[in-house]
Amino acid sequence: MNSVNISGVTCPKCHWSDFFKVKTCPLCLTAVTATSFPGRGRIVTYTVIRYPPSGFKRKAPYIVGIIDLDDGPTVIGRVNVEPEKVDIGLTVNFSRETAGALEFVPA
Amino acid sequence: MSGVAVIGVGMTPVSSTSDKSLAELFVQAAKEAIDNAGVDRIDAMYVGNMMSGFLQHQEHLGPLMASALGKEGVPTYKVEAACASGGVVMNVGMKAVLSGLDKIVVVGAVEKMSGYSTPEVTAGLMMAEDRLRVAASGVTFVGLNGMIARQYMHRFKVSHEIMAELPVLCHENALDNPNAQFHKRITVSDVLRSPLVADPLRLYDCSGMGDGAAVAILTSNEEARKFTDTPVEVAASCVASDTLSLYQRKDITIFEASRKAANEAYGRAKLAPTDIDVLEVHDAFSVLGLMALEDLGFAEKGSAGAQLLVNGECNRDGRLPLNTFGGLKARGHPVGASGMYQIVELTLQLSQRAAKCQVPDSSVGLAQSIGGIGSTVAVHILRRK
Repeated sequence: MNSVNISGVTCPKCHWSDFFKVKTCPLCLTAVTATSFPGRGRIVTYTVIRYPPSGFKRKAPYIVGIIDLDDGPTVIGRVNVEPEKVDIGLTVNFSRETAGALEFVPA
Repeated sequence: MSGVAVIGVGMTPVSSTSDKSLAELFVQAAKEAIDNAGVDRIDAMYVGNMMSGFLQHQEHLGPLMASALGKEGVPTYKVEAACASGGVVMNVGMKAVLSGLDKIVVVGAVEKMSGYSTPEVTAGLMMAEDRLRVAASGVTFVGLNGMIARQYMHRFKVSHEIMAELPVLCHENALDNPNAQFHKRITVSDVLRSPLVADPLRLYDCSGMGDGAAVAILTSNEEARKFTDTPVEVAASCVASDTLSLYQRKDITIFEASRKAANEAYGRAKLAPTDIDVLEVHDAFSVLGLMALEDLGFAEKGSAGAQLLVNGECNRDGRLPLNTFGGLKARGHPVGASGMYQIVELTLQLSQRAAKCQVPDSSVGLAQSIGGIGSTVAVHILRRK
């Protein structure tokens, strides 16, 4: 399955990048430009949330991971897979953004 | 001026069934500390807290506490650094005395977490991370620590059994602490059989929710002898910061802020890890205790459990007594106050007033207080004068 690109920002001067859309590079204070990253990456680490915070409208358990994009920055997002099928190193693809959160599925 | 000393301490028991308000908790600890020091006036008051705005809808804690203590009129300051509020308020109070502008200073911290639902407190704790970048994913504060634990166990091949030695040790030490929240001996298999909270962390890997306040009275080293025969010197008080978000770090099995604050503290105190007699670390989650032993220079990366915990080196009668009153896990973790509990407990240790928790002849102690996911770390080294 092909991944969807993740929109984000990058710094034209120092090449810092993030999925979160700021206006100014936090490292060199240069105005950033909009960009997009291929949504394929690997799980660096993950957890299974069994007790969500108040106000969060999603039923537990769900998985949140830190994902190192193959050709982009490291991001945090949900991984939509059963807890017994997730592991460090699993390749995932970005699927969509929901209420500010990135969502991934196994590649 | 040659430095700053602790001349009096006080604390409330940590409890999840307290019916006391924020001010009642703080006043109880502050009165005990003021009586203990024997001071008849104070020049300034510094109050640490994390969540009163979110949970109690109460801010402006400075004048709240000063007037509740009958000290209205003194300059007051509130300090917030998430779960390191207690460690950082100590640093700020120390600097006030060091400046020479304030002679006798009250530094204390208070938190009230009981009476709120787990989802409410869970949402409150996430205020320590980046609201816009990270909270939208639905990750919780325990979850972020679960991610660290997963990576730590994977990379260094550390078993959950080894990690569980830390809560077991803390619960053992808390049996002798009348102010501890939990008086219950637990085993490694109890930890491993407790319910999952945020994989791989289970209930007994995590500190609980409790209320409490801890207060210290500070003055200069010169003045200290007028008030007590057993002053405890603040040999170093250092704070460092890191990115607010975990995902922005290159290596999540190290807290750079912890290393930085510790190295600076060893330098200022002219001491090395081998000089530390008693250690209090921020074991809000079991994995953090292991990382602390490594980041503070007591064990090789990934090997704190194998090098120090499984062979009893960190027991109260071991080479490096750790969390001698029960630590965050078993004394309790009223989040913004825990850093001050460490200072109060170390002061009792070093002035040989720790009762059944006493480590004989301890003269140098180190406390590490972590705010957020390693985003703020305060390290204190205290020394018996």
